[in-house]
Amino acid sequence: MDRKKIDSVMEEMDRYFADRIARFGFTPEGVGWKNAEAQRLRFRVMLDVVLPRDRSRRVEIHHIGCGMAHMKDFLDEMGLPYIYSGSDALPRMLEIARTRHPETAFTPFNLLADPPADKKYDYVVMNGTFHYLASGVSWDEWRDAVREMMGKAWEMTKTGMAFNLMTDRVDWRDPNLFYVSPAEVIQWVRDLSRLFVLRHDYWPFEFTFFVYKEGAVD
Amino acid sequence: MIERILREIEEFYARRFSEFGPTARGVAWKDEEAQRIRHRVLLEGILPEHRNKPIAVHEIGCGLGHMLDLIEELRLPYRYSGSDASAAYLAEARKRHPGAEFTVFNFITDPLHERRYDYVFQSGAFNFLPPSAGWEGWRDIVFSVIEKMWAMCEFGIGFNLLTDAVDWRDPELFYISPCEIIEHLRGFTRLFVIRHDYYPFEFTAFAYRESK
Repeated sequence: MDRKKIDSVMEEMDRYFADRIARFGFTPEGVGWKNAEAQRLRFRVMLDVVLPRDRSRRVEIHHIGCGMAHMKDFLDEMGLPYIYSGSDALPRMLEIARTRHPETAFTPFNLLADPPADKKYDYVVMNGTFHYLASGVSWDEWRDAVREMMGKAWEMTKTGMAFNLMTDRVDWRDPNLFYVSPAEVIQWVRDLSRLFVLRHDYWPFEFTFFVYKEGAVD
Repeated sequence: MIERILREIEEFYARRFSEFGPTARGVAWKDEEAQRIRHRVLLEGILPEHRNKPIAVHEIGCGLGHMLDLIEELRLPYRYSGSDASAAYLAEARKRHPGAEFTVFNFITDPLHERRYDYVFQSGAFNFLPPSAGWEGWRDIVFSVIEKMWAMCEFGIGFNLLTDAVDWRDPELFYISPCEIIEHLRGFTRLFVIRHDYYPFEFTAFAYRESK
């Protein structure tokens, strides 16, 4: 995707979030989720990416497209010991995230435009990052962009990464959302690793992938 | 045709049983650890809300009932029962676990088991490719067995298969893409899981009832 198109996607997303925030404030609805429960369900599933051996350890979880960092709220509430950090492409979001969690490290990072960050984290998670299909971007273009973004996130993890996508088997489609078959995504994931999990068990319309480094799993 | 397939399966397992006795190798696993990891992964497919309950877990193609060894060892509260087509295996399974229920059931030729169980599992029985069946013939049989398992369960099913993305293939074994399994499972549910994280060459699939 060329720079001009990336800029227009970013502008559209920024407008989308500005509108949501104006209506719903610093809430899960404000970052586009239906409600707090919908967002929490995703966090709960996504954090299962952490291998059992790491679940009581201070492993680093980096959240790309962290938005307002509601995941940090969730980790605190669950009493999980993970070291959370976040990054986002939108300055508006980073500012809110920093206000909400002044002790947490937040960095500007555009997964679509920037090269992978140098730092590697134990785990990288992306929640809802690929759901939005901006106007003027075709399904094929966004598919290629998603694959590229997955590849970059993969460079930034030592152990594994998690991301979710909307399934193609739905009765009704929102033209501004990206739907894809989990079988197709398996093919993309297999280019990265032979160790992965597909969770299509928590919601009929969405699925989450965990992908692991082959050397990192016992 | 089906008689030849059944005979090949019978001979494959009978040969191992007579050579290795009542061990993991006697039911065609490489070793005990290889068998245990499959059972552990399958049992992890039981939904969190059922994990502390005496739910009914049924294993088709149970062999010697080794899954029950693991359930007991982990002190899981599940009520295990097993079925198998091999009378020799069942006789040994009953000796090993006199308290458990083992029934004769050939999952290829017998009609649906009339009993319903909370979960129905299968480990390893799809891996041997009977030469007479051919890849497509065996795939169709595997799919029909998966459908039987589904009809027998209240909450979910789990089974393992060898993945097609391998460097080397044993002509005696059946390999299939997890994508093909997904497409099949989607024919009857929108809730499923693929665990492809414990070995690079194998995966376990789970399917759950939507009313869960």
